[in-house]
This record gives sequence, C-alpha cells and structure tokens, in this order.
Amino acid sequence: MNAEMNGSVEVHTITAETATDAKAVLMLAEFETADQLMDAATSMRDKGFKLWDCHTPYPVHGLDTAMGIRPTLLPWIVLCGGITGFCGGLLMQGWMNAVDYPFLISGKPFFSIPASIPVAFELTILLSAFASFGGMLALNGLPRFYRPHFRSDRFRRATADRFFISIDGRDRQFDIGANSRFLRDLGANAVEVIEE
Amino acid sequence: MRHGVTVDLSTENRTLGSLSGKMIALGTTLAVLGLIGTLALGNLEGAFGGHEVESSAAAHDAGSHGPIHGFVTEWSIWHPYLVSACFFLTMTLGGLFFVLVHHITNAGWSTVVRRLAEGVSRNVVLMALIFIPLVFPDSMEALYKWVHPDPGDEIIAVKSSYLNYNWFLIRLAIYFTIWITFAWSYHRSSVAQDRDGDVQRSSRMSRMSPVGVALFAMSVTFAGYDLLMSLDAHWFSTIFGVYIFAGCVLSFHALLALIVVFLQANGRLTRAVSDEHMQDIGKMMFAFTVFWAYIAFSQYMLYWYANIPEETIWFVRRQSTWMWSFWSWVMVVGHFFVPFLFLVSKHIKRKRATIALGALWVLAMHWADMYYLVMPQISNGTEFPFTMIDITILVGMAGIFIIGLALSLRGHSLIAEKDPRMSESLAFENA
Repeated sequence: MNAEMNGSVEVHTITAETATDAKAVLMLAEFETADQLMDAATSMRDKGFKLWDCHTPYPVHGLDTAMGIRPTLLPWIVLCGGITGFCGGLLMQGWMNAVDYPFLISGKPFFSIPASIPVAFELTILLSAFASFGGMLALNGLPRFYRPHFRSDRFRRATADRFFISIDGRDRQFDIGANSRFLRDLGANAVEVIEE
Repeated sequence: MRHGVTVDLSTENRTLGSLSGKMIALGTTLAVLGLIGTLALGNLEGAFGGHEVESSAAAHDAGSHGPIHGFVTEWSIWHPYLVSACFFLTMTLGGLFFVLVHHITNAGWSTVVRRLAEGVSRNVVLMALIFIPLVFPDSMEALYKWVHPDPGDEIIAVKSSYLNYNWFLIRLAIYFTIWITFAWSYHRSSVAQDRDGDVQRSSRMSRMSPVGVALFAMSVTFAGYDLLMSLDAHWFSTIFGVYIFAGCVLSFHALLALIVVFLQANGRLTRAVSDEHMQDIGKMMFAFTVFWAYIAFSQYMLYWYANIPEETIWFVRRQSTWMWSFWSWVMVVGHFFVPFLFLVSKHIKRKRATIALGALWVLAMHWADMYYLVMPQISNGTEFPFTMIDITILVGMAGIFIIGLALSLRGHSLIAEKDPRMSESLAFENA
C-alpha cells in the first residue's frame, strides 16, 4: 500500500500482489455518517455515474431514491413464479388424477378444483419463494466469492460504523484524479483505489 | 439516519374542528333518508304490522307437519337489519383489534393512525344501541328458530342449554361489556396521554393488551356463533368465528383507509399520515383479503370433502339456485381475486384515489359477505330475498355510524400527540 498525492487530494492505492499489469478496478470513499453518504449519493447520481454502489452497516432509508436506483424487476419474476406454481399445480393434479391414474375416491370427480387448491396453493408459495430467492441472487450476480472491495482493510468497517461509496473502474466517468477530488469535496474522509 | 424530513406536528391540522359538524350533518341526512326509506318501502312491501304475526303463526302450523328446519324461513325486517348491524359491528371490532394489536406488539408505524382506530372502536357503544331492537322476543323469534323450535326438533333440544333466550342475552351483554370496556379505557388512556405525556400509560396499555386480545378472540368467536351461525341452529362450523374475525380486520382497514383519505381531503393530518402509512394499511387489507379467502376456503373444502349432509346443507342452500350460486361466485371472485390482484401493487396502495377505490370495493364485498351469511336461510335458499330495504337500512346505519365517528373523534387531537413512538411513526418508511 502506498499513499500518493494526486493533485491536492490524498489517495491510498492498494495493488494486488499477484497483479502483473496493475490497473485501477475500483475506487472506495469512506464517509462518517449516513447523512453525508446520502448527500454524496445524490451528487453521484446527479453527476451521471452508472457503475457505482453504496455500502452501509444497516439499511438506510431513502438511499435507493438518493442513488436513483430504478425499481427492481424482482416482483415480476416472483409473479411469474407464483402463476407457474398455481397453474402447474392444477395441471399436475389434473393429469395425475384424471388422466394418468384415474382412481375413484369417495365419489368425487377425478379432477376437481376444491381438492386441488391446497397443492396448487402450496406450489404457488413454493415457486414464488424460489423465484424471489433465485431471482434476487441472479439479479445481484450472486453467489460471488470475491470482490475487489475485500482488498481494503478500511472497507471492513462497512459492516460496523462507516459508510462507503464504490465506483467501478469500468464506469465511463472513472477518473482517479477527478473522482477523488469530487468525493473529498462531498465529505469523504478517505479515498482508496484498488488495482489488480 | 436522516430525520430531516420528519413532520413537525405543530404545523399540522390535527383536530376534527368544523369537520365534525359536517360529518354529523351528513350522518343525520343519511340516517333520516334510511329511516324514511325503510318505513316507506317497508310499508309498501308489507314488512310491518299484522302481516308478521300472521305469517309466523302459519310457519308454526307448517312446522308441525312440514320438514323440521333449524332456521326461520319467513323474511322479516330483522334479517336486513341484522346484515347491516353485523356489517358495522365487525368493522368497529376490527378497530378495537387494531388498537389491541398495536399495543401487544409495541408497534411503531401505526401510531399516527391509532387515534382514528380508537375513535372507530368507541362506536361499539353505538352498536350496542343498534343491537337492542334485535334482542326483543319478537325480533329474536323472527330471526332465530331456536327461540321457538319446531316440535320434535331433537337437534335444537340437545343444544338448548346453550341456545336459549336468557343465556343468549347474558352472553351478548358480556360481549358488549368486554368490547366497550376495552374500547373506552384504551381511548381514555390515550387521550389522557395527550395532556400529561406519561409514558407509563403506554406500558400499562401494553401490559393489558394480551388480556384484551384473549377476551377479544373469545368474544368475537362466540358472537359470530350466536349472531350469525345460530341463524341455522342445526348447522355448525368450528372455523366460523375465525371467518368473522377475518371480516372484522379486513373491513376495519378498508374503513381506516377511507377515513384517512377523507380527513386528508379536508386538510387534516395531510403530512403526518404519509404514503408509507397508506401502503401499510393497504398491506393489511391485502393480507386479510388473503386470510379471509384462506379461512373461507378451509371451511368450504372440508365440508365439500367430507360430504356429510348436515354440514353441506349450508353450502347447498347457497348454490342450489342460480342467484345464490352467482352470489357465491361474487364472494370467490369479488371478495378474493379482485382485491388480491388490485392491491398487489405498491403504487395502488400509496395513491389516495386508488386505495380509496380498493377500500370501497372491500367494504362492498364485506357487506355482500354479511348478506351471504344471513339471507339464504330465508326460504331455504330457494328464493333471492333482495329488497330495497336492505339498502335503506344500510344507508341509515351508515348515517348513525358517521355521527358516532364524528362524536368520537372530536374534542381531542386526531393523533396520539405524546405517544413515545410518535417520532418513530412519523419517520416510518417501508424499507
């Protein structure tokens, strides 16, 4: 780890030991309070950053709006899961009870809606739950065992008492000098760059 | 966390003020319209006077050599009266439940609307008055066959130690005593806190709420058995009380949404009750729409599956004519699928116009549900006994209910001013 003065702003650079052709992949900015983070996030959004994120020790209400995150697609995935479960449940029972192996039970019709509702209901819940869990993982690109953030020791405090903004190196506006000054001006008390 | 957006209560219009006069005027108009309509149409349709005595005597004669029924087959004015009375009673009890659950869970979000729920729950006094005409021997006889069962009716004979007039009156008195006691004491304590800000009041209300919830559960269950299930004294369903309870909570949240929309349209609580709170009220409506369907279907499916005549008769009566069949489908589609799909969306729940529309629909369906519980008993489901009196009584009682609400909500703040959870509730956001 080495510290260099970039313009008038101090930036810590962390370089991966195995890196042969080290390239900046991430910029981290640490904030003291959630309020600072909220203001910073609003400015980041207004400046037009796309590939960036906030990391907080607890859910901060209103951060989604401050970051300008678009509504998630997840509810629609869950709805599809639920509908699939419901229809699938009815079709499965219809096929099993009325087509594949018709068996007369206490004079009931081979296929009937009331008798099929409990299983269809449970499958609705089950596939909704699968869709929401799987959909959440997929939309977040999880599971992922490694992120460049983990190279920073400072970043560990994101689970305790500090708030972070990270900018992905692939963002179109990624520029170490300009961004670090910008983040400092927003109140960041430390800026780090991860290279690997 | 950022609390910069916290609402400053002192700048909020949070008393009913001149609105109470308007509500009372509206209520009086509706009540008078309802009364005149009922009297006029009742006379046209011959619901009053000697006709009733004659027909009940005829029913007695028929009973001695006709089939033995556990229910009354003659239409009377008390049937639509019971439908509307139960419609408003369940809503009121939902308000009491809301208050009790708020305290038992130490809820935060609902603090801003709790005073409104307390106001609704106090209407239970009014409901006690509305139920008085129902408990006279004449009206009881017109409604419940077990008051004077057919000779040789062994099923009712076995149940007579429970289903008899005196014990029914005592039970009803017990239920209303419980409801009135809790509704008034919680409201009084909450209003007293507005003045002295004593946090101990909240703890005391919290400590008492488990007792309240237990008594509430028992009383609502048995009130459901007594008032509605015993309309057919031969039939029974152990889940019936839960079904009534589901209706209570569902209809109350619909009413609460309407009250909030109404108050905000008149400049009250415009910022204290935010989109976030509306969304939660909507969530509760959604949840209890599902809960109602779950309970209703559980009752239906078990009886359908077991297929025992003494149990299925209740549903057979509601499916054997096309009108009642249609009404049953209205329950399935209108009471479950429509509000379920409508209320799924977050945006629907947050917009005042759409949540009010949903709430009105839910209330209409709740009334249809009460109608569905009471009316098919008449003529054993072979006729569809809809009359305009059904509507006029509903309108009249709605008028009385609105007057009660105005009286109950005026004279103090519309919000639990010094509740220790107020700032938490004001800053509440759906994560």
